Amino acid sequence: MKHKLLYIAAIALLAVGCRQKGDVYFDPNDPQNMAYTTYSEQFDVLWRSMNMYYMFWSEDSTDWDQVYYTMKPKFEELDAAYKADESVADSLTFTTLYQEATHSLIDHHLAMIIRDPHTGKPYTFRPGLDEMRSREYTAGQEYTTDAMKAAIADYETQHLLDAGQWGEMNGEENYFGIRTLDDGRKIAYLWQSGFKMMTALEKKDPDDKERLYINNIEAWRDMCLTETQLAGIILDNRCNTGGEVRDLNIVVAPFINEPLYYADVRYKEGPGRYDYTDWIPAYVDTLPADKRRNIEAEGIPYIVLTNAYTISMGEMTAAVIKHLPTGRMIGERTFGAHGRLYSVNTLFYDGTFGDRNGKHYVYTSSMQTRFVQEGMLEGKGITPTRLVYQAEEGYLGAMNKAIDYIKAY
Amino acid sequence: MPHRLFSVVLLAVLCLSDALPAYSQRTNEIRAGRGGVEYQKERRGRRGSEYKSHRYSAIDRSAHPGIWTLGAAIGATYNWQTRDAGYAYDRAYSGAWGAHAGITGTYMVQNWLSIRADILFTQKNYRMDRMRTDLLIKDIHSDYMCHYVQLPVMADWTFGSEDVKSHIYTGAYAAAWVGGNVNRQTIMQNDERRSRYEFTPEDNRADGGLVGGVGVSWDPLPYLRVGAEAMFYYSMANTLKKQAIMYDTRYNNTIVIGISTKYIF
Repeated sequence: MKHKLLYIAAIALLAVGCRQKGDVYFDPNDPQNMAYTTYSEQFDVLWRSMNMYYMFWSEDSTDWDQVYYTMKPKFEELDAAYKADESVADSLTFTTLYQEATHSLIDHHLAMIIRDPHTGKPYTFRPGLDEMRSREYTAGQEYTTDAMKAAIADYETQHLLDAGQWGEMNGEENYFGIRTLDDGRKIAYLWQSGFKMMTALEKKDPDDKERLYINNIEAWRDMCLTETQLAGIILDNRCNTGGEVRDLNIVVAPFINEPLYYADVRYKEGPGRYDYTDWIPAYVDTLPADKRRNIEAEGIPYIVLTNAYTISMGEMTAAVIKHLPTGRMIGERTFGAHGRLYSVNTLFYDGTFGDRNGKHYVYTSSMQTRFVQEGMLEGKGITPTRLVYQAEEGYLGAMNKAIDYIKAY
Repeated sequence: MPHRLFSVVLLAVLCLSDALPAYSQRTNEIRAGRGGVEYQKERRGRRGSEYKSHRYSAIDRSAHPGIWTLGAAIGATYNWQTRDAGYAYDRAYSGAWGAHAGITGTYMVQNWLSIRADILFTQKNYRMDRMRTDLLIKDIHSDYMCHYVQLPVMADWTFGSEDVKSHIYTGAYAAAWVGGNVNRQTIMQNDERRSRYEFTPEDNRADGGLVGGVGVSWDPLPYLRVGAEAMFYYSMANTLKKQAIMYDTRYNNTIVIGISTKYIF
């Protein structure tokens, strides 16, 4: 045989399977993937789902493969423990293991509701909230709507604000107030628990409470646009948990004279961890001349107040206003949840998955956001122009600084 | 399995070359006895030592063990990926055309067998379409242009006359994914945008696999060989690295159609 080696090579090739078969045919939203019955099966499903739908693998320092190698045996041990003694269900081990598996994930929108597969009892994991609570400046601080409402009542008492108006719509609350300075000039102040401004303005047949909510938005906007004695604008985003991006058309668009390129966003177009689209520029468009005001030319400062519980759209507006010509951001470094969320996974191949009433439900971002001036700060938050910590000066500090700044501008 | 088909073809070629000793032997005899010169004399009816020498030299240069050729190859590629598309609600992957160019060389081991090695720039492109009809923006797609530097090493099984030959190529290749571009239109953009492909930690930039093909060549001058060929590159390297439990397979399959010109040393 002249070609002995070649014959051997050819026969060897026949025997070897050279291409491996893939196994990513896995739809995180398929109800069949919630048919698991053990702890380790549940972990497998969640690991795979996150592997495909989590948006921040490009930024996250978490070694997701290592998480599997480390955690899988622990969940198998939990299964074995359950077989030996069913009282293990709902044990602390279950929550501890998921905290260990997810604690370093940077998506600060991430909220996982995972039920014990044996008892159905739900447990919620919010690694972003845990991270925020671990920051030195948030220790012992109360970041709630009630705390914010109490603070605003205090502003009225201490004459930082003249009397204002509260509104409420679909669980969201807002407050519009005016501060009249000694020289007669006025400050327009708006606080909101979330961003639902466009939705409010489009609402048909609002009830009385909702009418007040809508009135507050319209009154703040009208005052910002038409008040001849306007000294400054304050948008209070403290304890604002976010909402609709299109509200930039109300809080930013009226104050810019040309389209504002403020960020890039991207999403996924495949099952891979890194199947991202390109970065897509995001703009705030200008409004017609009669619906905008050149606050730069008039020298009107625009201040946004933030704290560690300023989340998502609350942070995005802050990041944009901070860099307007007369903009200023006062308060604490924000929460760090900048991704956008959409409910249509079939469009983006990422984001929220599971069933709110099923065995697991994971609320997570559909898009990454990278700010033009600030960069990618997911999990870190936006740092204000002027840092004022509530731990040192309470809710009063940032408000006082804002008014002082406007007076001196 | 394509690689098994490839192995079967290789085995068939090996058996064929062993089963056809007459061609080799006759050709060798001609060379050993310088019968080629006699043949030329009879056919052309001319004599003259200078011409005979030249003609003999031509035969010797193109079909004698030990000769080298070196030249350039250029052509088109058509690549598609064999991949587990996953839960592809609306994604469809298809092949795409590209280009290749490079240097090609052979060393003749026997008059019927050469070893061929190339250094090629090869594009392994493919396309992804989103087949949605419910969106305002139509024609959502991504054209991936992936640039590779390839080093195929092949056995060149040669058949035919002194001047016109047919070739069957069998071998393997190694390659490196060196760059790329993406022309993409997304759900949020009305126009196609081109960007450089940014490698990720998950990309497997080392490629390798089997290569096989057919070709024809013609020696119009004693020192010149031109040829045309069609090759198939069967990648055995996933373009993605393996993960803990999920294996997202994306293998390239590349057809190369090209021409080459070589200098015969």
